[in-house]
Amino acid sequence: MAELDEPNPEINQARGALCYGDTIDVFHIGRIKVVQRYACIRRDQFEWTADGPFPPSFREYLAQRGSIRGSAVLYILDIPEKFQLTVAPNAGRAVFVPRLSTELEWQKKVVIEIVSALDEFVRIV
Amino acid sequence: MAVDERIVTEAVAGLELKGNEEGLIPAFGLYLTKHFADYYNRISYGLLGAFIRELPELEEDAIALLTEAGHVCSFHTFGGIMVSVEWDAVVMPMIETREDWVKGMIGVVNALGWGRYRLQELVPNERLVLQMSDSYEAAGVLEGYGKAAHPRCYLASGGAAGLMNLLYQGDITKRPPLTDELYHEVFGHPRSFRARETRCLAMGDSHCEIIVERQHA
Repeated sequence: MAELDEPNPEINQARGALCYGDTIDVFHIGRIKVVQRYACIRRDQFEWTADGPFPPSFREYLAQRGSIRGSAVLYILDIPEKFQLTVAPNAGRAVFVPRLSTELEWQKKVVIEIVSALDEFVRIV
Repeated sequence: MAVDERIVTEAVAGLELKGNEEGLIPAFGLYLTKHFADYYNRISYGLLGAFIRELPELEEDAIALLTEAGHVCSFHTFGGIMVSVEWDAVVMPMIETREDWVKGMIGVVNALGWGRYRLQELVPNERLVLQMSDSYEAAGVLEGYGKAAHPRCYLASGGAAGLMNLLYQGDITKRPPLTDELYHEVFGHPRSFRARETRCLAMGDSHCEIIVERQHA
């Protein structure tokens, strides 16, 4: 078969059936609950929540990864070509939106890394 | 503390909502884009004009389509905003009553460049009256087609109806998943809210006015 002759229905079959916002997975990392949702064929959205506010040390940790904008009640870590993380610390809630240029596996790996750090900060508090 | 729309508007304006290198604005749990109002208006009123010229018997259907676009838009956009991280951070701490959700949403809208919305009347679960100054739809009609014989803010009208439906029909305060099923359940209900525009800048009025009330079964 020549290249681009016919679409291969087996490729992305599982993800192709999903719609925007569909829940793919729900898991916990320590005290943090993470919901993984379908955004498009090449990226997922991750939302995580804690029972209480995120400690200030979490923001300091994120600041080591890139520049943060916003206020004390709502701040955004935006790393071009990688991801955007929007954090409502007092509500104990954050949303991770990866860029299309990243791989699905990488997206989840980074989320686990950040949430694991957050869980440590929450435990210390 | 009740919702102070001005504080909400200032907070949202301070988020620096701008496109990233993908051309998208990931905000409110949504992927937003900056869009030319003139482009939207050209498509909307071009469609309506084509119906009026070619299939005048379907003019009301064309208007219903454009209004339905507002219903769908508000369900996902307003709904998405009201369950978002940003809402939790900025608006939720000020909310005391269900009606505060409407005030908070107006505060957000006023940061988005759609015109200036003002809450004129809100009867819980019954009626909403909104005033809009400098509606981009009405301004686009005036600019492109001249004074109109009828109100022309279809997206805003559909959006206003959607706001009341989200709050009093779909109970967005419980954060339901914004699925197609919920959309049809909420907007397909015989007593769901619908809007009518009673004044419009495009007709020569000083501002636009939208009244939202329940349909009668």
